[in-house]
Amino acid sequence: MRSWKGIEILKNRIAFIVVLAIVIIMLFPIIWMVTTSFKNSVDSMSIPPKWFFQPTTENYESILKNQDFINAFKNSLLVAGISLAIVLIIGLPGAYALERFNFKRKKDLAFWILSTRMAPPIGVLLPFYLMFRRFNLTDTRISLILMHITINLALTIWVMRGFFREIPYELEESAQIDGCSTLGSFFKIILPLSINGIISTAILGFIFSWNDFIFASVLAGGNSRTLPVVVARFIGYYEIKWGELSAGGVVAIIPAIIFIGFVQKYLVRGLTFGALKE
Amino acid sequence: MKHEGKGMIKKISQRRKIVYYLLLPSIITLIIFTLFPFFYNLWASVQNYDLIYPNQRHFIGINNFIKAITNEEFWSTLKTTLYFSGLGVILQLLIGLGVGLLFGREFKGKNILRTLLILPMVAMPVATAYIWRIMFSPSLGIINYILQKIGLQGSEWIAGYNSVIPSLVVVDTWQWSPFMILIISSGLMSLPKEPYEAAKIEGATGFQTLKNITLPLLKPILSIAFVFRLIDSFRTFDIIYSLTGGGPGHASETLNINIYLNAFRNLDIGYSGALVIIFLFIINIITMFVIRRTGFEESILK
Repeated sequence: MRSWKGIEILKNRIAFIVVLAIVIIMLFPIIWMVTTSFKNSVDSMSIPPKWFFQPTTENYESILKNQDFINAFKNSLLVAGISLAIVLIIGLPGAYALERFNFKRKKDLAFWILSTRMAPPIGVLLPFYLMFRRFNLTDTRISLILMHITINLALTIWVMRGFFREIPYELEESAQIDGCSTLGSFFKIILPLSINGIISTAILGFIFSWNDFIFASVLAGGNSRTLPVVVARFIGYYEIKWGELSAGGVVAIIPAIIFIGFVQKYLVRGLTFGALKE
Repeated sequence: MKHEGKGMIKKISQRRKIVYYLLLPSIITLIIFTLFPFFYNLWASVQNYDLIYPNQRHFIGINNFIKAITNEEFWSTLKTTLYFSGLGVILQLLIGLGVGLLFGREFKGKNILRTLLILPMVAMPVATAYIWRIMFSPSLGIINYILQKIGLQGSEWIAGYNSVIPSLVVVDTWQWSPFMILIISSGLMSLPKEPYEAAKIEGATGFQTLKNITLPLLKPILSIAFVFRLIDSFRTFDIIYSLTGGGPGHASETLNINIYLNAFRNLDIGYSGALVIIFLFIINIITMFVIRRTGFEESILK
């Protein structure tokens, strides 16, 4: 019995070492990006690669002086923030209705909502691009905000539906006996009790919108370029200035780095449309 | 009692009405963003519609579809898509299963390691694509440097015709195996304990337990992960476009990239509309097939 336990402990150790090795390998590109961003232009391209070097902040200074980059950062914040707010205003009541009410063909409706997420963005982009052109809306933040609704609406409805399901019926029932209306119980019971779910869904939605490249690459011009578009254009400007490129990349992935801790708990749920919980 | 019943009925009919108010904004928005583009693409697909000569637009029936299926470029983009997605998703599933099983064991720092693993998935793909571009550089990149250091031959990576898709699969797998790992490891935690105890008593080997208990129990979860990843993988845009733009030549031009180039570089709205319809058709067929075969529907539509 004792030796069996010893084998188990050994197996756990081995699992730890293998997982640690995999995590280090997986993080290597990001670590490499961060270190490259602190190298001067000679060190960043030297072969053999320099593992130890005199760190410099010149790349960040150069990036943060770049007006295109600053504007893009603001545009990204605005587009992701506003489109996400719209998604929550539209999607939260929808998710509530889908979870708490029974009506004909509810399953079909739920599945249809899910299936809209399967549609390739390229198919959505083309007709809207032509429409925005007709209404002189290309190169505006409005067009991007509208398109980013498609990125997150179906996801929000599905994930929030799962969070709402966990709130016991009885809470709402007793409130309604006390004279609370349906809307009242939605605002006073459902929303406050699922605030963690709402925040983590919102963070995930924010990151998806923040990262979007395909919509922004077509719809955004000089006035509305978001961060991914500007980062992609850097390769043209900076070509071989790997330090600047990396510094731009680091700034662009900061929201993701800040938020992973918070999203981690609910990420599986978000990425599988609530099909799996943790 | 009767009185109460009546009250309940009134309440239900009130609730009926409110359900529409709650749902309508979502439904209308989704209709605008899915049905409008679908019918527009359908309409465009039967037109000769080139944005360079918008006045010469006219109805041409199914000619755009015929153009596609008689076009060698179309078949080669389809092959590239299947090569990229097939290789990538299978690799990610295997890695997910292996590492997911390792996460099933007890060790310190498990949560921190799992959190760190998420980073490739949520970091901006355009930004991470550039660090891969730098690392892939044949003469100055770190990957070839390390390979040569340990006595292996370097590769041209994204610059080579034959190595470009495997290189993109490396990036895609780097980005998305965490997704598989997370899903599979959380799926493993939700499995019932009893079958494992029974297996232990009967003296089953680790491999037998995996094959006869774990994999069958995990099947619904594996199929959810598979379907989501496969569909997402068909739509991969960011890393391919920013790493290779479909090149060298057309070597990494997937159907998705090909549609993008036809629409926004060639401005051929009619032909790209037809390609979008074909793309949707393929996604639907594969989704239906996978759903039927794996019981995915029951697990997601509880």
